Amino acid sequence: MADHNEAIRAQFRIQAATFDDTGFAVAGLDWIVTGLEPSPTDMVLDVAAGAAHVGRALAPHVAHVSALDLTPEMLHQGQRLAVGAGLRNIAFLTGDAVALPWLDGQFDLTVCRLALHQVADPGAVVREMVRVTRPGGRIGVIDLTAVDDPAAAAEADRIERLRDPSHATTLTAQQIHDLLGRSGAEVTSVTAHDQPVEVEDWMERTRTEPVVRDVIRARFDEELRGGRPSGLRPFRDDTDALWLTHTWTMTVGRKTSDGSPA
Amino acid sequence: MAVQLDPQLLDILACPSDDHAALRPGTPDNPDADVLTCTSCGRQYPVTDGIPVLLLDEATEPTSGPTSGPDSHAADE
Repeated sequence: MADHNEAIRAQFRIQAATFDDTGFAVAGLDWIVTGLEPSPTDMVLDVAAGAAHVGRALAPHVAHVSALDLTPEMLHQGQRLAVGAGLRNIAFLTGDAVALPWLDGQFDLTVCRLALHQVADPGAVVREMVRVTRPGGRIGVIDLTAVDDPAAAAEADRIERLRDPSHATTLTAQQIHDLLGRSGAEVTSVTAHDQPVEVEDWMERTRTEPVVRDVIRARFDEELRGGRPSGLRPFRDDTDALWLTHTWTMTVGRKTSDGSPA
Repeated sequence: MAVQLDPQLLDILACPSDDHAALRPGTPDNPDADVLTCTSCGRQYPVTDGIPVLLLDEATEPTSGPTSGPDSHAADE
């Protein structure tokens, strides 16, 4: 397995138990389900699903969900939560988002939440998502997106990697739009959403080393004192707790009739 | 134990290798094995705790698969 995939597995083995049905793990789900406009006849694929939070949120609204992830511990967590919720129309599979184990053109709706920033080749993920979607079917990509200022975007990636060494690169909304177009999907909607993230919880989930946590706190404080932008828009709330702000962008495309670039 | 997957889901699964050929439950020698076998390259994918593991790196390469001749892509990576 590629080294980067191994880094992702190692990271999410650590995080699996924190992906329950509360807090950050369910953030934005209502917004996502509404934006994806699920239909009762939809056959859905959740790619790099983790514990399949999106897949499980969609399951009551669609015919069936297949959830694929690289990390077995995350799938077991998702399976446990699905059984607990009485969901019977969801299947879990171990696999790599850049080599999807399905025939071409099978799904009505193929989704991926919060994974492109984690993988070495996001273009390959999007190409595979479009390949397994039927002509006319929808592809939904939900991910962190970078600020337009390249220096601030690079700084945000640096901080994200300090916290989670398996973080790859946060794309801009335009880059995700272009990946869909090049892969044979015409973008039909783009919506953005500010997602505040409590910094201490964010670092705790990845068990970031204490000395690194100090570096990250200091970097955000530098920006709050008027220093260079970190690209992560930190702020302190009424209780003086430190937060950052992720921009999540949901990009939905429709596969062209012949899968040619849109 | 035989592979227990919804037949409709099994019908749309494919080998993760580039030609994405269909998979069949079991092995040529043992149709009840907890394994999915590629109908083209013969790679065998384990099913662990009911979850198919469809990773090229964790597949068993065929010793004498259906297409183990010179045209086989079993050694592709």
